[in-house]
Amino acid sequence: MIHVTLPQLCAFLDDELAEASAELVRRHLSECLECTERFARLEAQEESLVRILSDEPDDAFFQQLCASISLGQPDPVERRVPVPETKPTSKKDAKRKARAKITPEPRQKPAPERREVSAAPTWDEPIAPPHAEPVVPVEAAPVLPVAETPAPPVREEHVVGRAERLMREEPAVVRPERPARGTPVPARPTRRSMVRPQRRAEDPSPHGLSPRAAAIVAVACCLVAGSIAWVTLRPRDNGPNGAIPSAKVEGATTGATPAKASAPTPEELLDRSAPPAPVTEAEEAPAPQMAESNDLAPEPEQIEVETPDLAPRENNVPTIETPAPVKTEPAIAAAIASPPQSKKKPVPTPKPTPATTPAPPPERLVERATTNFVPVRTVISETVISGTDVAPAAERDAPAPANLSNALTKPDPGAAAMRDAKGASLEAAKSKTPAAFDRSSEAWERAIPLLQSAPEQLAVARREWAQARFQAWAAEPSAARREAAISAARQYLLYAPPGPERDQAWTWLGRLKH
Amino acid sequence: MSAREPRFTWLSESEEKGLMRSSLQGNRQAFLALADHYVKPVYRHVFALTRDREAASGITRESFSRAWFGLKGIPEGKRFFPWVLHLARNLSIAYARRHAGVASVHPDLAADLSEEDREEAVVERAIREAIRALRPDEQAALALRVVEHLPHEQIGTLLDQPSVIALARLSSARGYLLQRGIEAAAKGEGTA
Repeated sequence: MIHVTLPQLCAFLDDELAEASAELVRRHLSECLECTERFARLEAQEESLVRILSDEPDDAFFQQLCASISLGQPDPVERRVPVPETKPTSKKDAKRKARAKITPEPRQKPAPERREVSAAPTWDEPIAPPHAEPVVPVEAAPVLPVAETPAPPVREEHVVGRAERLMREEPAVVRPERPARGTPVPARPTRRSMVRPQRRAEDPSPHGLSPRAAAIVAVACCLVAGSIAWVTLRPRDNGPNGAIPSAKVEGATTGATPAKASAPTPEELLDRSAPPAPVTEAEEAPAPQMAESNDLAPEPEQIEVETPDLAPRENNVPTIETPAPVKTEPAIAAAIASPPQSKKKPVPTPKPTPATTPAPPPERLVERATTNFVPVRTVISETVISGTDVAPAAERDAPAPANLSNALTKPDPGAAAMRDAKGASLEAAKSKTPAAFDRSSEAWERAIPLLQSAPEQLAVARREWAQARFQAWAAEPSAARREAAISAARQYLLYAPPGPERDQAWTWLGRLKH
Repeated sequence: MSAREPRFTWLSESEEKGLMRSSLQGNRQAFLALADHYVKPVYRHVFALTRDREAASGITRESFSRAWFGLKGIPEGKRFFPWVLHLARNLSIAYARRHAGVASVHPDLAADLSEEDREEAVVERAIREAIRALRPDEQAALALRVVEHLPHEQIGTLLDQPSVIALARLSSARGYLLQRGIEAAAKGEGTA
């Protein structure tokens, strides 16, 4: 006994099978204990899955959830970084850098990780607009741990120059409103500033320089790196597509890498002052992260998706040096009939008129006799469906010329049976009487055993047989005709390839059963 | 055989486009209307993937937040719900991966369970464990079918796959769970 497969059972469970297929599965389940038990287990498992995978909070939960979705920035469009179009290669990196450095809390990390890092309910924290100044009341500043930690040497006493600000402030901190020169920099009540004084107090200057000397060195590095970067990366030197010439990039990287790494370029400084770009799916969705580690990473479709096999195609490429023109039947006949000198000229393949076409060789006539069958079948089907008289078309496609039988060296009983069956089908299509359909189906039934050596014709004969049986039943239903039609349809379905004709046979079967 | 209706309805395409257009222009209310319509299926899907209510609510919130910030990057012609579900699914997978080594805590089976209930509980526990071993797309297909009652075609649409692939995912997942359940039941009988 052929059991039902698991995909069939699943499709049946999900009510995704066509009615005829579902009926077959139902019938099989009524007969097969093994499959019935399997199906029962599947159903029980489905109930368990519903219990495991479902959660049904009330509406208040969803209202609260919806209300807590933080839309930190009013307009997602405004968050784009205005990057010069002349540098498309560095656009993404600049955006990423700007977002990574300016954002107070890195948003690229998926949220659950943040939940692990801190005990605070970070899910509930609204995401602050990355480029916005942290809004903290001024009174809050003295409360910050700045006063509790050993403060760095008094900053308020001397003028803070640009170099010292660069030393003292982390380069990621961007101040849209720059304080006036000479005014002391107020402590910033951001998360970063809350930890920074401690770090500064604990870590003395590692290089042993005085702050002023270090500031001078930093300014020098900054200027050198900026000028090198400007010279090498300026837009007018870009390639035709805006790409940076590789030689210049190499020069820049070899010569100025340390300086560039230690100090921001003017363009980086420019980008920091701009708000970050909106999060796009390609950048933000963690799909690339999924692929970078363990076995849970979603794999590309491996089995089901049919991918073209490239290897044979590659192998075939060299062999197809001069693609031969497809010769039509008359062209082949003409090539055979024509003298050898005609091969010097390229044989065009126009559609010849029947009058000018030379007589094809007998082998071709045999082929034509077999291939002509398909249009005839189509014509019969169309006739039955549309109910129109298509006799001229049938005559056009009628296969057997008078001299065909003479051309055949050996009489083929299958071909003769096919001719008879086709004739009967044509008659039935014209008359549309049950008796004619019966005669047609009997003719096809007689032809089937004679066509065992011709699988294509055999398949066609089975289909015509099933169709004629069904039409006979449809024209005048009776129990005998019904049984005969069901049997014929099943015989056809046993061998029929997938496709609309098979689906139509299922439809017949469904109608015959109900 | 279960002919159940899908549990959520899609917004009409024109309405969704209008809301997305308004959202892109900075209209929060339009985006919140979108979120309000789709928050339930997204939450249910994430819960099915994480089996943790707190994580599911957090991931749902984060998904919509990311959707708001990344609305400009939505692919042309793609609808909002599959896109935000994709974001949520990726976050859920990342969450599951971080918790992959954490052993599940199951309450002990009550001693007064009948034989049938005990076997059922053992099988359910085995299924619960086996779900974690499924591939993400299998889990997603299973969740969309079991929780949302979606037909295979819509599952394929939401997973960017043909419906036959959705059926293949479903059947392989169910087959694996079935096998694990049978093994657990046999083991339970053996130990009993």
